[in-house]
Amino acid sequence: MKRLDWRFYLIILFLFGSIYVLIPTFVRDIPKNVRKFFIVEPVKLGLDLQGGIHVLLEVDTKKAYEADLLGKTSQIKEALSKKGLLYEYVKVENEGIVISTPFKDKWDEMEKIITKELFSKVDVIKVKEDSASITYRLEFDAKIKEQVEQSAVKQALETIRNRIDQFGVTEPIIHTQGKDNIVVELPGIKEPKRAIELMGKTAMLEFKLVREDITPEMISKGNIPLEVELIPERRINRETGEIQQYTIAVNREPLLTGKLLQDAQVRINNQFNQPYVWMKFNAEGARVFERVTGENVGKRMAIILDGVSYSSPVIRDRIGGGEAVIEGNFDFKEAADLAIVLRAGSLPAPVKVIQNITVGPTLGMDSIKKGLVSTIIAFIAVLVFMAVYYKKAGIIAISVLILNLLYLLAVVAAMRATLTLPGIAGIILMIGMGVDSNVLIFERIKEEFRIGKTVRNAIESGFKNAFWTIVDSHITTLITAAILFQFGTGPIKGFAVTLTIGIAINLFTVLIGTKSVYDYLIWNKKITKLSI
Amino acid sequence: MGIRKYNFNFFKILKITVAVSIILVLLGIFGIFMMFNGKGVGIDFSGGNAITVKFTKHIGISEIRQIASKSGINFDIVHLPHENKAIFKTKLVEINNNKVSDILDEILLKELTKDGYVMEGIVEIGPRVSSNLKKDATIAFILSAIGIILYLAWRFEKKFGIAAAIATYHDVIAIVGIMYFMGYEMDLLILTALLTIAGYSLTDTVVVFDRIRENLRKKVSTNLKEVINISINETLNRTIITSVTTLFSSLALLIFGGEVLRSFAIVITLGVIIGTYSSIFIASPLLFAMKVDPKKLKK
Repeated sequence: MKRLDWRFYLIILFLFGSIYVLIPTFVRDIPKNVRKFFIVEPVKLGLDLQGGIHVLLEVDTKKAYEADLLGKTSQIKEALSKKGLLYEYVKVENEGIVISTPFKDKWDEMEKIITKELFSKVDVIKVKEDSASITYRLEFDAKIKEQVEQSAVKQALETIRNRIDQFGVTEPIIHTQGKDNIVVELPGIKEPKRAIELMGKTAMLEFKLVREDITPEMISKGNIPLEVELIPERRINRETGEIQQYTIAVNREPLLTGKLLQDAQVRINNQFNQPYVWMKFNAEGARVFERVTGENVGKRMAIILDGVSYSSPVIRDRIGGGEAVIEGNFDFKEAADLAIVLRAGSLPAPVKVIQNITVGPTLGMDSIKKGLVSTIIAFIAVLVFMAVYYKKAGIIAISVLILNLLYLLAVVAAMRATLTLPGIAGIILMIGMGVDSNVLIFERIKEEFRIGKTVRNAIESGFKNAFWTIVDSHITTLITAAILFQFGTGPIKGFAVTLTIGIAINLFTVLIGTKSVYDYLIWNKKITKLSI
Repeated sequence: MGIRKYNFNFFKILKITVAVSIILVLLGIFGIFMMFNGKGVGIDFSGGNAITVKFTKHIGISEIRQIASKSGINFDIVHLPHENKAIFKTKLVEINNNKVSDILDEILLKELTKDGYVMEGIVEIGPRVSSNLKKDATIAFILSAIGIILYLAWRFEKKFGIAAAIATYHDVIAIVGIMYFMGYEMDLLILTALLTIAGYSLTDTVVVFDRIRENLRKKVSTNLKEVINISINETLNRTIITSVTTLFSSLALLIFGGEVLRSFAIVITLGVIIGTYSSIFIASPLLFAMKVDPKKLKK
């Protein structure tokens, strides 16, 4: 009654499907007009095999919130000044804003402006009151903090993606992880160090007025006004090319920031043959730039990047057109990267590299080669052993094993899952472990045969008795494999994927594949002898 | 070949095997205790750097050490003379805001020039990443234990689940101990291998348990000890064959898989041996010790 039934055709269908899916992986240089018939890409290799970098960045969300509060202090100051309300100071302290004023009777009016006109969801707590002044602390709703932090991470992600795109990397993977981490994976990158520096630069561009009234004596005594800060300045000796560090005093409040920048490009200074970065502001930026330079003619303006001044030229005249330059002792690549980060915009908060896995392309090739050799050796060893021990049944087991491997690779390719080095190790293990289900069945058949059953009955009850053992053992292994997914990093996840797919496929090939071969032998070939 | 029936009495040497297992587990617990105190863990769990450098010309270990010492960092150096490579390991992530890889790069550039070496790989793990990983790993092992017990309790009976989980963790703990005393540092790859072995050992145990359940139902004998012994003997052929084929795989990996996968291959090889051993000598006797009740078995 039973002939070649649906199971057999299913196996064959999957076999051809797998070969079709895997052709792009194994055959390189397929002509373009033929290639379009193969819709599946080659098996995607993990960074540990094809080379590249995996970087985990942590966004300093605390700083982002501080910056947000700093913006709020400016808002408060502006609003109070407008109404002619005087204050001693408004400053950020310990994730809140502290306001102090000597005019106690005016506080109610101030509070009304702050809580009604400026912000909602703010707690006002009295910190101190004495005869001279009254001090209040503003604390914002925890949700606001969370929102600011979340948007900082999102913005950082966008900025980094922008930078990477401009740097030119094929198939970058950039996503957030957890609350404040960003994962960046750049396969096949040539200059990993440069890429990491590019991602990590805050690129906060500021133009600040230099306070020449602050004397070195005042600096050394630490006697400087609240609105002034000290920052380092790099100066380059044109003759020797040496970089020297100075300290300059500037106003904390910037005249202008890089937010209004429209473009940045590398240019070469003809006189010194030195690359520099040319910047152009957008219309609003150009207007502001023109106004602030006009107001401060004769004074010096520091061009500051990430807290370091690159130069502080004297403003000779009102500057229209909205163009500026940053000069430093850059080589061309440095200047080009600086232009990229300025174009892509600054990060809302500093980021820190907390994990960096860099794999050179040669190391990956080496791993693939060794993985391939191990696979072949393991396969030959298992093949010989099975053929000798189980004879024809062993050949069946090996055929099923080959199907297993083919299906596994095809599913990995079709799902666009990533094959990693531990994943390859998983495949090699599968060669040894994968025959287990067949071994279970064969041993069972032998037992049944030994107690005097006919060939057909021995096979039937062999399968029946081994069935639940196989299912149970596969599911328990699946439980441990699933738990490996927990681990975020690429290579281990790759292993978990390979293992999980492998287990599922093994279950299929044995219960459908091996079974249908035996059914075929029993019903169509009417075998009467076991070669097992 | 093939048709033979074993008749070993596995309970006969139980005293010896229990003693061996207790020693192995104690060593393992000691190793795990040390790891939670920061000893014997790789940079995945402690934070730090592992930098793989390939040299263009042959260079001796003493010279490598001498060059590395100029960095002022106390590197732990693994030399691979056949591949002309060295792996520089340190628990440091950065010094005065300078990355360890940058410091080493600078020294190598000065000593060997640009053409003298290639920095093939860098693994840099910050302290927060590593402490998170430690937490994740601990949770993963607890979760998998619960998962296994629940599944087997559902499919068999509570005591089967507990016995299988104990046997599986016996293997994992014993291997951790052996790896610790062999001087391998616990890292993600070893952890992966351990979970893989947990899966393998479990399969092995489930196969034996399955037979025990079947023989209990068939009432092969009224003596539980005898039922267990018969079941182990009946499945022994399969146990040996699967161990052999899996060993082919793990040995192929061990011999030809290269340095990166070495620790992984060792764990798997040890695991196949210990996993097979524990199904017979730990898991099954535990069923006897816990006095499983055939009446409670599920269908």
